[in-house]
Amino acid sequence: MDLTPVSPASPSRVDALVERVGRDAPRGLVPVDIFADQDIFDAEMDRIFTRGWIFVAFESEIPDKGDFVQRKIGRDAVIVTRGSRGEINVLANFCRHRGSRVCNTDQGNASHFRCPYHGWVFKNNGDWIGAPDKSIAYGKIDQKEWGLLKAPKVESFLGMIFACLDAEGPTLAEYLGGAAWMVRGIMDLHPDGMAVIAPPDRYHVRADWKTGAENFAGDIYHVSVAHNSVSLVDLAPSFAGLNDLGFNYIFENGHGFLGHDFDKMFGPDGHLWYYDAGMKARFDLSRLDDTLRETVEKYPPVVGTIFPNLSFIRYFGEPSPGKPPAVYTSWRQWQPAGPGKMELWSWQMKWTFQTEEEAAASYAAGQYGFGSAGMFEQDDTVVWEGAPDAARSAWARKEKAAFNIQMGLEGVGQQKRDMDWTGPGEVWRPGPGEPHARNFYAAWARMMQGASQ
Amino acid sequence: MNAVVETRAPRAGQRISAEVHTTLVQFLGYEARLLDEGRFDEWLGLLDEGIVYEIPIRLAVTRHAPDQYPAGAYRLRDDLAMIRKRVERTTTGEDWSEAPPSRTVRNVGSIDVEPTAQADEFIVHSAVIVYRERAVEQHWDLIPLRRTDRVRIAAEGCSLLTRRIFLAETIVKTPNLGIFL
Repeated sequence: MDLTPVSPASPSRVDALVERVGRDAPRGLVPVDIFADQDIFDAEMDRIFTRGWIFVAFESEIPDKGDFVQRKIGRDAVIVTRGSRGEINVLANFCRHRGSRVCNTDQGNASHFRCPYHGWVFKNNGDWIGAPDKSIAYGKIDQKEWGLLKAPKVESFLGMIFACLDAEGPTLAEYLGGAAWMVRGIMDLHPDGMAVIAPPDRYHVRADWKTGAENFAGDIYHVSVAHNSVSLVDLAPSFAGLNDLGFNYIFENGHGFLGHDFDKMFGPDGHLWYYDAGMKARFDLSRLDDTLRETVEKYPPVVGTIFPNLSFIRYFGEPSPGKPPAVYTSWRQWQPAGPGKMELWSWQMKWTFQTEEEAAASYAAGQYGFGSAGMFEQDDTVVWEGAPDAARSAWARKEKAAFNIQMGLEGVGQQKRDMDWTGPGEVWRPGPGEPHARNFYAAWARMMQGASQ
Repeated sequence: MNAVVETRAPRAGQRISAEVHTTLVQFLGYEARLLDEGRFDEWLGLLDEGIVYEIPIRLAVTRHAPDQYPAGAYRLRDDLAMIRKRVERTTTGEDWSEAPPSRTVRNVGSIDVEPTAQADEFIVHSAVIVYRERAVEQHWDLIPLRRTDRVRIAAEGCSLLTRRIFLAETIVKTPNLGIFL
């Protein structure tokens, strides 16, 4: 059932709702309304996705000059290209003449894009370079004026390309803040870094983009319930006690990561996400500062979210039952597709230094767990359908219902902030706790109220 | 009677006997019914020990691009042990993606049989439309696909050696591939 939201459009209604989120999130409440509301969704596109730093591609997807992939910034189709000088461009995929898509494939290699409607031609850096019968059609045309819209800010961090459509916004480093430090601990264990194994696995989920992002920012509490079947069929260790072994890493601007106490769970063998000895020997941990090294060795982040809609997971699993476990790393993006609707795009990664066989084992384990038929992931895709239904509920609106994100607040459960933490951001432990959710929705409200983070 | 079914413009060695054709059509029909009726243990009995069951990732690319199905890229690539675990998961009572089980109806058609170098093994191409009604009221999930199967015909019955599933969709509409296709 997909009932269209009934509330009338009005900016003041959106602003009132946003204000309510900003006020209530820190005390552990999220109004249900924001998970399937056309006005909220439109405002998110305008205020978050055109202003924040949005992930668009991995450098390893466009290694050569002319390579491109078609991606999304919010609902906007964009082309991410490797230009003739090797530079990366992020371009709006519509012709400036009448709006036709100039790129009509998921990926490829092209020096230019020619609009199939009237034939305007754009170089792969977005420059307008021609049109049919140019002299009789236009005489002189201001070429600078009519290029494809081009993201004013594009930056790459450890092989991950982000774009920001706000020329006045912060730098990527400022925006990521402490999360950049944590991502270094995940992606920078070797000077050659990580690369994609394959194009993303993509599917529609009838859930709001925020729900996936918030979950991956640090939800340990759902694992032993939503994913229990995986443990029951012996594809994962028992989740009993897991709630007591969590570390919530909280950073500015809504970013959050969830660590597990691998030291307590598995002892020294389990350090560094349970990478095997051969892999551990090839990593160079001297690249990390002391706090980060100890963090990834003993309490490594296993999931995390870069606000607004990029998340990661790294865990270990058997590529096939009975085979030696492999550690997989997946980055995934919750692409907003409409109120209460998203596309889930997930990439599996390999270390550039890995052999084909090693990468294949990671890929198999990762897809078996977290692909579109993943033993873990398929259960997420249905439990997340509930929030938009609640958001469409007249009863819930009548009662001004809110979801409960209170775990770890003063007097609620055992989790406390670790005041001895020496790294960036905050650590809350042990689990279970929901500081990641309060942090996420507070950042959401700030950005929806006009802060550029 | 030794009828022959023309599977394509006739070429030497490309003729499939009506008996083989009927056997394979019957096999796919029976298999479809087992899956629609959730009789997974019986369905497992149709799979060869060495089965490879794969759904490659598909991209929208130009007509002549080589990489509509990029080499080695898959949504799912299962061996028998992996498939067995999927079936075992349905017995846990906590397989939330399929609780309640989807009500599926699959139509298997456009069957086209090719012989192989093995006299008792055949490549069977088919087109399948799976209708999936999920949860309590999630209607109208439609999963259109083509299959290329390799099937062995033996005295005790047919077995599925490999199955490659080519989804029509590049971005799948149904929220998970938690059912067998």
